[in-house]
Amino acid sequence: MKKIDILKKGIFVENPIFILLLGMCSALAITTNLTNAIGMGMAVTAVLIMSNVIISLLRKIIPNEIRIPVFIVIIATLVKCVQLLMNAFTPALYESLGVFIPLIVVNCIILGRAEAFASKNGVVDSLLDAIGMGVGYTLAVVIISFFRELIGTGGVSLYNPFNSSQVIFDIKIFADYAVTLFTQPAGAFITLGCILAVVQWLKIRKSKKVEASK
Amino acid sequence: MKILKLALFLAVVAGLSGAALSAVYNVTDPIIQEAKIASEKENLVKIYNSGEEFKAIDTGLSDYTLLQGCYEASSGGSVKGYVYKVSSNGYGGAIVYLIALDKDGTYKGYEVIDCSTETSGFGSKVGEDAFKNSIVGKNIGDSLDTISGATISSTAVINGINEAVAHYEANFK
Repeated sequence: MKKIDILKKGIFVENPIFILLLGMCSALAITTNLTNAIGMGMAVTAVLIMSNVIISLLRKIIPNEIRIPVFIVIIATLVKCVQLLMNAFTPALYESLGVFIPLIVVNCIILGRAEAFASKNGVVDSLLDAIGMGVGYTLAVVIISFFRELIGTGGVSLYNPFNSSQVIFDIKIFADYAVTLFTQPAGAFITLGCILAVVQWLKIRKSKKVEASK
Repeated sequence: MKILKLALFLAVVAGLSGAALSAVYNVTDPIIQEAKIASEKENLVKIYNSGEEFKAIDTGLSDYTLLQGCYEASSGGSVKGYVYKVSSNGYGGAIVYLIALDKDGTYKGYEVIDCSTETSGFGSKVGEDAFKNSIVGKNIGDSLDTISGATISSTAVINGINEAVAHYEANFK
């Protein structure tokens, strides 16, 4: 497989949220606004890159029988490091993401990539895979949170994750007609369902075109 | 033999993880503590002067359910008193406030941070100066008066203050 394909597959063909349907718990819970989604995306990407690289480096010396516990110990350590760093440098984001930062440990994207990819492939490929998957995850949660924030609050806003008082943009379009349901968990399911339907439609249309051209 | 080898490998991995974690913790902990105090400091200086130093204290706090934080105020190395951040359940929700216990044995200050869940005109009296003046200056451990018409809210506050006193007596006396 070409290097660029490894990078690209995580973003489109094997997008962890929209196609593989992994890590749905955090994707549903933290997508209430754009700032949270970007912060969570960065945290997951950072953990994913580090865990894929470390596990790929150690893949020859980790005994096969205990590989899962070893993976979990490594991932848990990395998540705790990220959690401490976020608590120190992005306190507002840390507060609003709350319990979902430590829960990255059990996010199945990370263990999934460790088991399915990093434990069988070289360091460079694993790094590219992690970047692709991380960007794919971030892209997906950003899309979900964009629609949820737009419909739920009538506008979109983005704050600097490192300094919550710094507003990058804050646009209110139809605040009077906001449907607050979309900031609630039920709204997360509705939004995700609609987006998944669109993604499936695009996928089927594409494969039909390929068949027709044959 | 095999199982010993596996156990040893896992132990080594866990040990290395622990070492890495403690390194990160050592770097981030001072920053976290500083940020925590900075966010609280604007409230703390209402009670003690801004020139004084504040240090967060954790000792024994987890035994007291209402206490959320404790800050030691000191100037030039000598301790002046302790400020507690307390959250007690009032009539409509949590009432969050600071109570300062001075080294000279009196209530040094009382500042309400949030009592927005209390009924305005009744429970909200716990955030007014009359109630504050009924506390500040009294000796620690003296009985404090509730407010008529705001019995639930003011009792909640006083229960929280009693917890702060209990922690103070147990740890700093």
